[in-house]
Amino acid sequence: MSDPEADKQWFKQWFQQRLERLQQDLRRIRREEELHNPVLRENIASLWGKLEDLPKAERQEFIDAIMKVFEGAESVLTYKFITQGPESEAPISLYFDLDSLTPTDIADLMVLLSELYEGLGGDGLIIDDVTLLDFQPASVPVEG
Amino acid sequence: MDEAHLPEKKQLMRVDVRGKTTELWQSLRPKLIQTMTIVLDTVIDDEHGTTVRDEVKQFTTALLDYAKANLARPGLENERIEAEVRRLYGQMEIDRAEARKKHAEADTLEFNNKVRRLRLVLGTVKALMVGEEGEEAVIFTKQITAFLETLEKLTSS
Repeated sequence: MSDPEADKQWFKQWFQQRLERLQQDLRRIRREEELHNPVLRENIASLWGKLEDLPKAERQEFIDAIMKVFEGAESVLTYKFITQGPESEAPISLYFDLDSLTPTDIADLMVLLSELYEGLGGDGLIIDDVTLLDFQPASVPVEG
Repeated sequence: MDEAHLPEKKQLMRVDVRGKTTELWQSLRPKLIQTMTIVLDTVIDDEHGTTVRDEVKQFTTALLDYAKANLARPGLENERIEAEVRRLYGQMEIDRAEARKKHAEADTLEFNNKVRRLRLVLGTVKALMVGEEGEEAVIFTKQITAFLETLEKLTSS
């Protein structure tokens, strides 16, 4: 049987080693095109991949550690790292304030975003899901 | 003891959107987020500046967690609003596709025009990019100050 604590410890050590290697690689990189170095890209992809396996609540401290390494590098590297992260197919959530927007306003805004997406080479946006959310405060008694 | 000073109820509609083709969506999603961030950043209320965005980010997590736990009860009115948005959007997209067929030149509408139009609309509607990478969300409202105040009260109640 696997021991969760031992697994965590192993992961931390593995992560630390990879992070140090990434730091060394980044010290050598000074030009944008060097970002396409396959070894570096593999390192980054491997770090991202492992983080995706972690529960969301545990991910943040590792992301922070990676970002710290990038903070010391050229800004272009940080930018590229963020924008070239793992390709996600998750939908984008749009929250509309129903107190101030009508269904027509909402549809209009969505059409604009769909046009924007097409302008980038996409084929239009489709609705994945619609949910209404009530922000109803709990009736918490307060001292009067 | 009384129940005074409770914030008013607020209702939001969450619409999850994605590209029609998965492969294209995967590759263009980051570009769309990036473009939206640039466009939306320019329309934040001048009076409040970037602090509004920072403020929203501060309680975004609380807001989204709260939202997930507070799905509106199904009801005729809710179903009507959902159906209306789906119907309007579907119809507008059909109209747009037909207009494109009729006017081939519409296909060549400059990207900048689209951005300009979005900015124009967002002159009255405020939009804020929130959420973590991979789980980005946009909040749209017309009354940013009232919206923030209510949400702040709600998430801290």
